[in-house]
Amino acid sequence: MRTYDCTASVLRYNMFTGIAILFIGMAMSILDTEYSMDVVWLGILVLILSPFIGILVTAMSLAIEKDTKWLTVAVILITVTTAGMVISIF
Amino acid sequence: MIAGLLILGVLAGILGTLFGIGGGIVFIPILTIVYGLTTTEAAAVSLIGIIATSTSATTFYLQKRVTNIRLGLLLEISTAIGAMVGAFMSAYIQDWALMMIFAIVILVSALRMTAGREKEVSSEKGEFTYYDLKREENVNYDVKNIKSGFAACSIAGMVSSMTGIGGGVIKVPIMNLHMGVPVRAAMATSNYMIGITAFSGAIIYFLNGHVLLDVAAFVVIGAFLGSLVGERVSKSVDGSSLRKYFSILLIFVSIIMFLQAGGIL
Repeated sequence: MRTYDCTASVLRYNMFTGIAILFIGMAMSILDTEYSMDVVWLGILVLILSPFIGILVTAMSLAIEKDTKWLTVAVILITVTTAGMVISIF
Repeated sequence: MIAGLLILGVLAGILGTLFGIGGGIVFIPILTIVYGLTTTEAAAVSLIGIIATSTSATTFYLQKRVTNIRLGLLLEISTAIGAMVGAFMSAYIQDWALMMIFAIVILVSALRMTAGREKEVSSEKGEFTYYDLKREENVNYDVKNIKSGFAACSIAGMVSSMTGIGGGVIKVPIMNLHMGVPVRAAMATSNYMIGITAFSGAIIYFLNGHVLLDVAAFVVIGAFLGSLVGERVSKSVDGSSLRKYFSILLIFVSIIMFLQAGGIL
């Protein structure tokens, strides 16, 4: 059950961090502060990365639990997702 | 404009959390028709909204032990591969034909889900367990047809990437009807999977500068709030009702796709 708790915690902290940065950026935007959109950009980036960070944490948890069967599945998924991104970029 | 984007996000967040769908079916038509965004801009914002909904809902469902994280990891592999193949194939297949096939598949799934009854069985045995939020008890279940379900998810990924619509509306019926996963667990697992699928697309749009940051920010906040509402509602709906409401949603989605295939939308 460590896998569930670790993944949930990381997703929650990542989500709240992203939303908090977004709020700061939007507040800066209302106050017409310089770099406000850069802060919003950062908040959205943190949010976008959440699912991928979630898989990485799940894989680490499965490794700690020595669940090799599902760790292999997680590693394959990380490889496929990364390959998909690289192919799309180039 | 701000209020409208927040409401859009809230609506997609509620539907996404309850039914395990991405919300693209809500985001894309409204962002393009009402807000005048280009298809690329709408897709970029939509994917970020889907990530917000998925992340928030997945956190909740993981804590409650509803999501089948292992099955999600496995099926996401074939979905991702299918999505890549679909991206290459999209140049060779007519959009309207694909939409029509997809709409028929969704309609048939909806009718099958309406006709069949959700099995509410808690057995002693079962490889997997999920926590039923309504019944407040653990339910054991086995997953069947893993190989064919794995293959079906690759087709789901392929069709999704070719049409821009899909995700949960295909994955939930595959898991529930074909693989025997209880509907609530199927929806929660779909929620987990669509976040990963959306990430692959969103990061590309984001790095290429296609994301309208202010629009995305309000949609994200709305989706986050909507998912909190969806979490509360999901506790009070049983599996059979959830399946019935999902069938209605599928029929609605298939109508939209028939209209898109016919060039009306």
